[in-house]
Amino acid sequence: MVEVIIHIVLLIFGPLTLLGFIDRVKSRAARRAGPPILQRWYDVAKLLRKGAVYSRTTTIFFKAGPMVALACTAIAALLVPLTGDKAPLSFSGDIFLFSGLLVLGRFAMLLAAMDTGSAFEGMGASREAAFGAMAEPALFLVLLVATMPCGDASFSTAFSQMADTGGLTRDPGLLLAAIAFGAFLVTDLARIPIDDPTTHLELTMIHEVVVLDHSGPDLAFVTIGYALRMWILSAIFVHLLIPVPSGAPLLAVGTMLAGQFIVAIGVGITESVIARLRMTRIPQFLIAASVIAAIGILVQFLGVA
Amino acid sequence: MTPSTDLLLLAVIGLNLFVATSSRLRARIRACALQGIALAALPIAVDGANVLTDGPGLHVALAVIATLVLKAGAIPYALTRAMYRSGVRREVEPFVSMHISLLLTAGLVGLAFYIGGAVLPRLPGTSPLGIPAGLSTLLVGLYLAMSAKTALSQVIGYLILENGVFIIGQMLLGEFPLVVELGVLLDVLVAAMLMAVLVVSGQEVTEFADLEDSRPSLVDDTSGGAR
Repeated sequence: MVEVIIHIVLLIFGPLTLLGFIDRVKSRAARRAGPPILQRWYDVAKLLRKGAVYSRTTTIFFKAGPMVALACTAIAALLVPLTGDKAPLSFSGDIFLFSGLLVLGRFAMLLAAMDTGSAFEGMGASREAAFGAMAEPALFLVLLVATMPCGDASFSTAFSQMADTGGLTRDPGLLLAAIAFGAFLVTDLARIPIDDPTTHLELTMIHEVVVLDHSGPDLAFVTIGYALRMWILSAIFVHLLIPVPSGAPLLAVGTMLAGQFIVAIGVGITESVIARLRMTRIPQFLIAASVIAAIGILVQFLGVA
Repeated sequence: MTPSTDLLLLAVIGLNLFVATSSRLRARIRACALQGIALAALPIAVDGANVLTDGPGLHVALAVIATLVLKAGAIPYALTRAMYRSGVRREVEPFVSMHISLLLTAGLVGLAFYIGGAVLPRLPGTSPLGIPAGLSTLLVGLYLAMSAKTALSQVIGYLILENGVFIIGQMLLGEFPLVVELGVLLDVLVAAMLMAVLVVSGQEVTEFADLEDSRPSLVDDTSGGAR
């Protein structure tokens, strides 16, 4: 019970802080003072107090988009263990619910984007759908690598098995899975090298252009949903790399938090030092991610111990 | 078998994928050099650091140093120099597109895993990744040499093929025997050849470097064959 409460507290206070932390890493890498780490909180608080503006061409889909996306991500967040190896919600096959919820959330946002009737948003929606679909095989292959050893398609079982057997040190396939998952993470979260979250040119945007017309509370929901997505995906990434000890919740939470903020540092530094890929190179990047994850499966089949 | 061996072999496979998909000649040469470093570290990872001091220690240490100097130093240096001096295009222009190249490479790696894991018997005491990693390096190298348009990228493919032979030798024969050292000596030969063909004869290189024209044409151009 306590662990469930800790899990929910983490989900409430972690994500926006993590986003602010990435911004801080990026500003430090560029030798700027940067906004306060809690800036995203201030932004969301301000947006929630504002009213929303709706175009006359939009329908219920536009209003529902951010809410459905946030709700999907919030349910998905309950499936990923944050406090050791047990998640509040876990059952055999929950990885499929997880990926389904992620896709449903994205689908709701894409419908909302196309509902505006804006050419730019339609273009962005098409790109987000295309790259999201190409990233999906990588995600499933990674989840296969993670869950195959325990024979149960559930995050909690898979990660507790990893903690028992020693994870990465015993199974090099997990390293490949983690690399492929890193590629999925930057694609799903639309970060460099796939997409630049700070770009100001609609023609090159992927994720940002999809949410261009949302304002006020809707934009706040979009921001929270995005931050939550980043939080749970980075948590899975950490789980793949570090066998988080079970049985000691405090140690587990500490390990997870440290790991997630290290992932954030990695994302921030990556964004500071490399440029985004040319749009035509992105499919190749995503195919490479799937191939790497597939090699991870081959490595597991060989029974490397 | 130590986990570091597995990680090194995985790094070698990853570099294969990288070389097959990178479009820059320079990046390919660098990846080749990195693979050389991984190969030099392989005997140490397999048998532990004491392999350099125990028994035929000097033997192994010399072989490791020779591998490092040649594969990670001299050969990449010679290739980079040849690239700049001969004025070949620094973008790789393969016959097949990068996407298909990537999928083909993945297929070759899968084939190598199938042959190395399911068909060949696994030798006791060696990493199960050894033969698949070596075979995939060999196959990818062969593919790269086949699909290359310029002499320089063909040489890169050949070097990777040779790296695969090195890994298989290392994995099948365990302790560093004379056969593997002969492989290293073959590298010296390759390095000398590279120097001779690509660097010293500076001007002819430009004409030789483009293999497309030097291939015997199967279809006679004048008789209206598809071109």
